[in-house]
Formats: sequence, structure tokens, C-alpha cells
Amino acid sequence: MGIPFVAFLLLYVIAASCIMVFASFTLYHAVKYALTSSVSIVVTTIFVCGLLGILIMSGVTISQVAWDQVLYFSIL
Amino acid sequence: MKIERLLHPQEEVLIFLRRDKWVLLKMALLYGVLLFGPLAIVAIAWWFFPQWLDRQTAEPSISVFIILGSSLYYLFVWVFLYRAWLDYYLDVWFVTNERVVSIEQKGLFSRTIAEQRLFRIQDVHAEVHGVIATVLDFGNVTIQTAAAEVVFEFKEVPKPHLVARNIIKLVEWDKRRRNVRE
Repeated sequence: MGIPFVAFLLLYVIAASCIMVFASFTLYHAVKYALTSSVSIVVTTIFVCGLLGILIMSGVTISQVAWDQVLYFSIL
Repeated sequence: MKIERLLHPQEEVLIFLRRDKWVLLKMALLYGVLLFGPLAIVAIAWWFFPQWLDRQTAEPSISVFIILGSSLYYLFVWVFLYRAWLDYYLDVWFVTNERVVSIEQKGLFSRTIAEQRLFRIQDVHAEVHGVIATVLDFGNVTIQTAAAEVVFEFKEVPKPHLVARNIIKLVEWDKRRRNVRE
């Protein structure tokens, strides 16, 4: 695995963590003030599902790349 | 936070306002373009360079960079879209039979709740500026007290002239019932 790719992964993890912290604060705010109607509950649910979907997609991609690397080095 | 918790006994909400739906539509258009942008780029890349999206090789291919880069981009846009909606949803103005209340969310960690008794209000005026605002009939309503300072500004609310007229009627009604002289 090349160093540029490792560096890219590291940057990705740091950036994703920062966004998730911001998303957590936003969700805390929503739970505290905004969940007073069905519209806001539906919108918040869609937001959380979208967030989880994106995280799962990138998690699957990273794990597949890692697995490919394990296979590659085991063949070597 | 439910509005009912802010009300006194015997108090009822007569006018309840948020920003006009045009604000939501503008936000949806902007973020729609931002959300579908990477999809268009990936579709073009797949059409012209399908080998970039082939993940058969053991070395990480360009497809991994594209997928991770896109997911990071989508994370940003998705979170900021929700934050924009939350900002729209939490800005609320309402008029009861006793007072005017303004709840404004400025960013994530700044929230202002202000209120003023109806009989203290001296001037209410409405403004509509721009082609879209004129066609869709939304604008700002400004409320001043006797101190001639702007106490509230209802921003981008629908039918601002009607809102201003109704608030003036409520102010006059409140002054009459309290026998307040001008």
C-alpha cells in the first residue's frame, strides 16, 4: 500500500471525524429544540439515515481495500 | 422546545410565522446542485474512463479515491444541508393576545428569545423588496416601541403587509382593553 494512499486514508479519517463532531452538535441541538412536530422528526430521521448510509459506504470501501491488501500480501 | 412552554396561562398564539417557503426552495436548489455534482462527475468518469472504477487490481485504484473523496464531500454537504434547514426551522416569530415573541437561532450556539408587550408597540411597518419577493409576496416586518428602537424584525415572512396590519389591530385592541393612552 503506497504512502500517498495511507496519507489519504488518514486525512479522510480526520476530516470525517471533524464532520461527525459537528453533526453531533447539530443533532444535539435538533433534539433539544426542534423535535416538536412530525415534519422535524421525519427530516431529522432522513438526515441520520443519510449520515449512516454515507459512513457505512465509506467503511465498506475501506474494509474492502484493507482486505484486498491482506490477500495481496498473503499471496506474496 | 415547544412554543406552549413559553405561554402564560390564558395566553393564546394568534399569529405564528416562519420564513417563507421560498427560502426553503432556494436552499433545496443550492444543495440539490451540490449533492448531484459528484454523481455527474462519477457518471462522466465511468462513461469515458471505465478502467478507473475497476477494482480488480490489488493496489488501491482510483475508484477508491473517488468513492472516499465523494463520501467526504457528501458528508460535508449533508450535514450543512441539515444545519441550514435547522436554522430555518428554529427561527420563529409569534404574536399572542398579550405580546410579541421572537425566537432566532444564529448559528449552533447562539439563540435569542425576545418578547415585548403589545401595548408598548408604537410602529409596525412591512417591506417587500425585489422581483421574487414581490411576486411571491414575502418580506420583512419591523416593529418599534416608543423608544423608536427596532425591537423585532420578522425576516422574509409571507404576506408581510397583512401581518403588519393584523399586529396593528392587535396592538390597538390591547391598548383599548388596558385603557392605555398614546
